[in-house]
Amino acid sequence: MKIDKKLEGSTLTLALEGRLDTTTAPELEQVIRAELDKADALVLDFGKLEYISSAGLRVLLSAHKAMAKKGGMKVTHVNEMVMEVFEVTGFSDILTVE
Amino acid sequence: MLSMILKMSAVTALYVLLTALIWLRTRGRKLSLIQKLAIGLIYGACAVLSTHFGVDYSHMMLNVRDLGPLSAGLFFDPVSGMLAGLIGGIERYIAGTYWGVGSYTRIACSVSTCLAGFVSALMHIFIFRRKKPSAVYAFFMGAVMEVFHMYAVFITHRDDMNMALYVVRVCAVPMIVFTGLGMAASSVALQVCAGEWKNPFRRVSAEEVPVSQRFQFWLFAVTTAILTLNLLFAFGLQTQIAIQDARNTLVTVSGDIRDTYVKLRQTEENTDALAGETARMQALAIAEAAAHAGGLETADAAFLERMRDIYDLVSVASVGADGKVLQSAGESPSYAALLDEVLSGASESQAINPSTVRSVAGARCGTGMIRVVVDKKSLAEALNLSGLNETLSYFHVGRTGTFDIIRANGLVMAGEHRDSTLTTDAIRTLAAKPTETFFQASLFGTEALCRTENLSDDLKLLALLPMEEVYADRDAQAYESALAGIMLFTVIYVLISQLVQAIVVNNLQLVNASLHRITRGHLDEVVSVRNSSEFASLSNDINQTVGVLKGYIAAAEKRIEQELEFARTIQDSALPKNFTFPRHDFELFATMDPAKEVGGDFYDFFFVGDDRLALVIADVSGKGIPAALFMMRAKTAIRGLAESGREPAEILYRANNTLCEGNDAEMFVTVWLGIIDLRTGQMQCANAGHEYPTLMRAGGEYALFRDRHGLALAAMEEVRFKGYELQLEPGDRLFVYTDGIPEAIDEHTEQYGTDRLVNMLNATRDEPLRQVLPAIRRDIADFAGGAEQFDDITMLGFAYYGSEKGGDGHEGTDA
Repeated sequence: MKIDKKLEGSTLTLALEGRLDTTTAPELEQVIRAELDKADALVLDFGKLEYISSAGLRVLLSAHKAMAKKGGMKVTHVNEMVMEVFEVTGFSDILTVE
Repeated sequence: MLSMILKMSAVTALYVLLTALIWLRTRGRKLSLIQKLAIGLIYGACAVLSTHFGVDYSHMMLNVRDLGPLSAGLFFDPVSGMLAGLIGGIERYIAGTYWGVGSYTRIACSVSTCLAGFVSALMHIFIFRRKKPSAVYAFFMGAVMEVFHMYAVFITHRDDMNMALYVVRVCAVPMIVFTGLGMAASSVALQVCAGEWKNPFRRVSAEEVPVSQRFQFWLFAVTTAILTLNLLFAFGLQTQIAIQDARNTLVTVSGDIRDTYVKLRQTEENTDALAGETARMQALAIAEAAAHAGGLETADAAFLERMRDIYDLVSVASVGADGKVLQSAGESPSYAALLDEVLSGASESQAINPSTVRSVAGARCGTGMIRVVVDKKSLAEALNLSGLNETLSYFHVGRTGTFDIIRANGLVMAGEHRDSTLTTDAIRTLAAKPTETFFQASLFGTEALCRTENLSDDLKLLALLPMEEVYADRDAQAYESALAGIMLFTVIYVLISQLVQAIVVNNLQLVNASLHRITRGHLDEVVSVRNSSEFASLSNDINQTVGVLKGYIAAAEKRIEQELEFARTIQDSALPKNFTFPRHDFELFATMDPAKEVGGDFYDFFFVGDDRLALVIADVSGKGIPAALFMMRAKTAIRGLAESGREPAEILYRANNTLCEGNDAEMFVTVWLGIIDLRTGQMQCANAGHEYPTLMRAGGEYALFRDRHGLALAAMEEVRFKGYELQLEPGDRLFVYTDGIPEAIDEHTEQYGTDRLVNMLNATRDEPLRQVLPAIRRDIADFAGGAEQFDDITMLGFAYYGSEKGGDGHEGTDA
């Protein structure tokens, strides 16, 4: 998986490419943990994300919880397949998906 | 001076600007040969311009010509550097030889410019390895190149060290400093352009400093200290030698002058005696002649005049017995009076005026006397004795030194400053200094090393040598050895740092690179730096350590594998395996196939009361032991809550809150839960973020049942779930699964998907569930091919037959 970091003002945008599964989720978790202090708001660009597993959802959930105390977290450019996962798991109810 | 600094700064700044501009234009590109030659031409042209537009300073033309080839070679390409050097150097030689531009230093200048091109090319390739040099190195490159330039001036003018020293004295500092600064500034400019600039004054922790840099720092410090001490020592020695030489010169010259003076003095005394004797003899001769002629009275004026001519006398006179002059030739009355006065004294001769010294003699003639006056000077000249001054004019003190013979009253009798008088200060100084010692004073306007010697009570010989001449050789040698020392030091420095780089640092880097690969998990990496005993033993130690580590890791892996195996067994045993029920109103079969290790999926079924059967399928996020443990928690919580007879939605609500508590690992679990009343077929369900169930109505086909969803358990507290109701009729089948099925991938990462699942279910819809589930598993395995199974594959099939079939063997039904 490829993670593209971009910090604009206090908004951190992470563009993900590839599969977010058990093997790659820790990588994202590490990046978010490392960069989160610098940012008030987090945007996850899922435009090129092919797949998300429950391990990926877990990272999303913890990021969401951490960001809820700050400027919030947004997930953008979610493709159909990932959106379905969000809907099936009920994550679409708690995540801000644009 | 200030104007020189400003002009040199401006020229240097132009070079820096040019370098930055060319660099920006060619940035990141690979230079073609044409471009390399073009850059060489540009810098060569700059070098030529520098030659012709030097900065005038103390009659010297300062320039930073060498910046051209140096910049081209160091910052761009060796070819450019060599070309620029050749252009600048050859043009400089031609300009010096044919156009008279600074022809004195033409060889030194042209050689150093050519060399600058070649040296920068070599440094670029071998020392900096085609990387940009740091500002410090760039400074030293420029400065040392100019040091060579200056040294070349000395080498090429061995026979004319004074001029060479003057040239070097004027040019060395500005040219060395500006060329060095120019290179350093260019380096900084390029680093800034490339965005690599780091503040060198930032405090760096010891961890960030490479060994080579630290070593080079100390090497620099030590060699600089040694060089400085050596130069100071040599300078001190040279000073001593210079002063000793100057003293020897003064002593030798003074001795010679004294000897000459004494000799001349003796000649002078002899002349006195001779003159007296001559005068007496002449007086006697004239008296005799007069006596022969008939006595003193007969000696008339014409006789006396004749005698004067014959004997070449100043004057001759006949004096009566009473002492009165009878007749005279060449004697004025006043002169006669003076002579009388003189003759009445004891001395025979007396200087009557400073430039004419005469002797007087008389001879008895009858009752009177004949007296004659001879000119000692003309006599001395006749005796071919030159004057003191003329003799002394052949003496010299060093090249620019002087000597003088001075009377006590400060009048200079002879020597360089003859006929002048010393200032009162100088007289006082001379009087204060003991003779035959050396002292430094400014007696005639220039500071000089002086020595005096008494020639007589009244006369002193002063010899002096200007300090500038005293120290001329020392200064030339000091400059020369400083320049040579700096070049030698540079060569040693470069060689030693390269050696250390080759012997130590490169090896360290090799070892480090191997260690890096090892840390990244390549445990089969072997460190093989064996070109010195230390590195060989280090390599051996590392290899050994890695070997031992590999053993430990293998052991640990085995242990973990065993433990995981246990965990899998435990987890497996936690799932109900008994699918035979003592009743026939339903059929149930479930499998769980973990991916690689223990997973977080589980299924569960159990009776809640006599006729109510609870079915659970769940998927914990993540894998491994944490997922397995969380799964156990979830399973226990759900079962416990279900057994207390609650509705599925309520069960999930409470289970969620329980699981949220202390969920530091932020795991969650998707759950589908259904509780069916086997008597009525009525099934209450709730779905916490789990996959859609598939449902087959009797006689129909399987289809996804898009049920009402809630959030996965343990994600957030206080989530309310909305349950729903399914009415199952006999013959209906329900199939639930985890995402391991639809998300199973083949070698092209294509997903198995729910469509394939539904098709497969339909294809096997008439078969017993015991065969359906393994068939699906096989189909998934076929689909995946060689692709790895990422996720647990868990499924649960339920067929409802209702009470129509439930007749036989039905035990324990409600009475």
